Amino acid sequence: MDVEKFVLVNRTGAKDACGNLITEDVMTGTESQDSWARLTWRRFCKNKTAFWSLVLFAAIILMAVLAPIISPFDPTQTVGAFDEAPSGAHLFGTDDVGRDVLSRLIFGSQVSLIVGIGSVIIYAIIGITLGLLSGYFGGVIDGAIMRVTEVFMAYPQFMIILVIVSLIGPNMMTVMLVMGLMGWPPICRLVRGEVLRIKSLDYIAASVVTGYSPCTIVFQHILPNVLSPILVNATFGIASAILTEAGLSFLGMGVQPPAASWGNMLTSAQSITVLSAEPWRWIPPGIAILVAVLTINFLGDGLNEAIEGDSK
Amino acid sequence: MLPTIREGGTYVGIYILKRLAISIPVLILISVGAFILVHLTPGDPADMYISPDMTAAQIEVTRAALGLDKPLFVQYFDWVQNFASGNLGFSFSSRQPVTEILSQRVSPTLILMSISLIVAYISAIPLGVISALHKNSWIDRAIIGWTFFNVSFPPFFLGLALIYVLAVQIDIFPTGGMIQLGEENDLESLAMHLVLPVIVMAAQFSANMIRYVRASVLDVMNQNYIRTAVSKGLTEPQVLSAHVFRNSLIPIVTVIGTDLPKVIGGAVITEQIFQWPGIGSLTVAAINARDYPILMAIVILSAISVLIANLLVDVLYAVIDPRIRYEK
Repeated sequence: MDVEKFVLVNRTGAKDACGNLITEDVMTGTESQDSWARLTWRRFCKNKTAFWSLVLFAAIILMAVLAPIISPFDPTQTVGAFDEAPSGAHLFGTDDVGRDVLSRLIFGSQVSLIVGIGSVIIYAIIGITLGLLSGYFGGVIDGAIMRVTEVFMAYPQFMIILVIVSLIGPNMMTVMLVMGLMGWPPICRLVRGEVLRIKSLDYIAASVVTGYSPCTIVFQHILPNVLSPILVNATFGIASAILTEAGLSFLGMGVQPPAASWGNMLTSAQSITVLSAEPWRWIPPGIAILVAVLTINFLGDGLNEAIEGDSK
Repeated sequence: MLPTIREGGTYVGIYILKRLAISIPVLILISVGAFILVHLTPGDPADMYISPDMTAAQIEVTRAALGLDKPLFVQYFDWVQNFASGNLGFSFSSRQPVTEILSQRVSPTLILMSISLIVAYISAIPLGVISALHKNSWIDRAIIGWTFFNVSFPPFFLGLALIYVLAVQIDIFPTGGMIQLGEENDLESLAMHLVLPVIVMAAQFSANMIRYVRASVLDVMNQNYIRTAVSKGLTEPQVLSAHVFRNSLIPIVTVIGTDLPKVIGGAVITEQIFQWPGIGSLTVAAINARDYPILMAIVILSAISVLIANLLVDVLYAVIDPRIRYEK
């Protein structure tokens, strides 16, 4: 499974990282895996934008985890006057039913992260499985899976997710599930392409001749070598899933009030009164989405460069 | 043996036929999917016509009039048959024919999207080329950073911010709609209404194009034939115009291929914010009214437009790149 990585490690000079280059355990054991990961990590940290976006992403996760502790008020309860401008008591003011905007902002990060990461995990599992099957077995299985991806990709993503979620009842779980069940075709195609490339390499032929079962070959010999493009794809996927969730909630077809989501905090700004007279209600959540998505996109870009760096 | 031009043409023809043949099962699955989707959901569309004082018999008559008493697969075939003859049924909420409602909504969406695509590409292609020619300079970094901003900006936040600054604070543009009724100069009014939504859509479209053009120009500049052109003494402008640009424009088809399918169904949020009377805002209205015939027609229409767009792009590829059409 490590032939490819071994070649890559060899080419980029793993000598510095693990001392001795061509040894038995570098070729077969976990040693090369470690050094490959370490090299990628070192390249990643050299990229300042990538490094700081990782720090910021960690901070957002921390905010979501610590939300019940750090948020000043209960995000779903009336805790002040209606439509109150920012003040010492309510740093970002209150909304139309007197809920604290800052608390809603802090709790909104939970929704964005859960839906963003959850839906990507769901579609990555589906996409990876189908992509491996499609690429490895080819023939009828491949044809059938590819037709199904075409059907899924023929529906405009946002529109079809919007329609399905609204029909089965919008809430956080349905948003996450529908996005997960609709989003797998691109990753499926990516994995299929990688499998087709790897399948022609000698070490797979060697595995087949040695008599490994297709299951072992696919999951233990091929999958590990497909993981890096999947990781990059999934990172960008989280960013766009957060945007989609926010968009759905903004249209009232996602997370429903009183639960707080960055998207549904902007819904009220569709009225000109709120838009022009109460900017504290819609600018902070808008910036929160922008910062979170931007951070994750930079993170994905940094990962991509760090991983690609060793194939150059 | 190299095929003659005539033979090449036939190959393209066969290729198109093959692609069409593949599209047919996909089309059938799409229509079944849309049908199942819209019908196996909680909430009865007949509810809207039923008042509490109606008797059970009256309710049955209402359901029968809407065709809701038949088995699902019969409803499906009825619907396919009607669809083929151009009859998409009647809107549950306004009782107007669906075709009539849709045809009023298609052209505003097409206007918005085509202008957005043109604006996006016209601005993106030079930016991508500049970015590549000054690789790793501050201007390159600025342009790349800009593309990250564009793909990360939530369209509804960008739209609201634009309305807040350019329509509310400084009253330059209208806050929404398409044409001010009763105004003298319709075209000017349309243009003014277009500016803000076009900015929002073009921002999303341009990012992809900038990155592709940049990558493509960089790729071409590393090719051997560019080195040859430089070493045989051509000046930089000559190399760029005659060799680099022409070859690096090919991947544009790829970007068009990802953008074109978004034309019908891709502007839901933007249209909703700017109250643009297109397919996107119709979708939101139909969802809120549980207007099944409209929803189903929109889903199918947008899926068909995606298929047609994909087909167009594949054919374009086959025309540009002869290797594709000789594949089995």
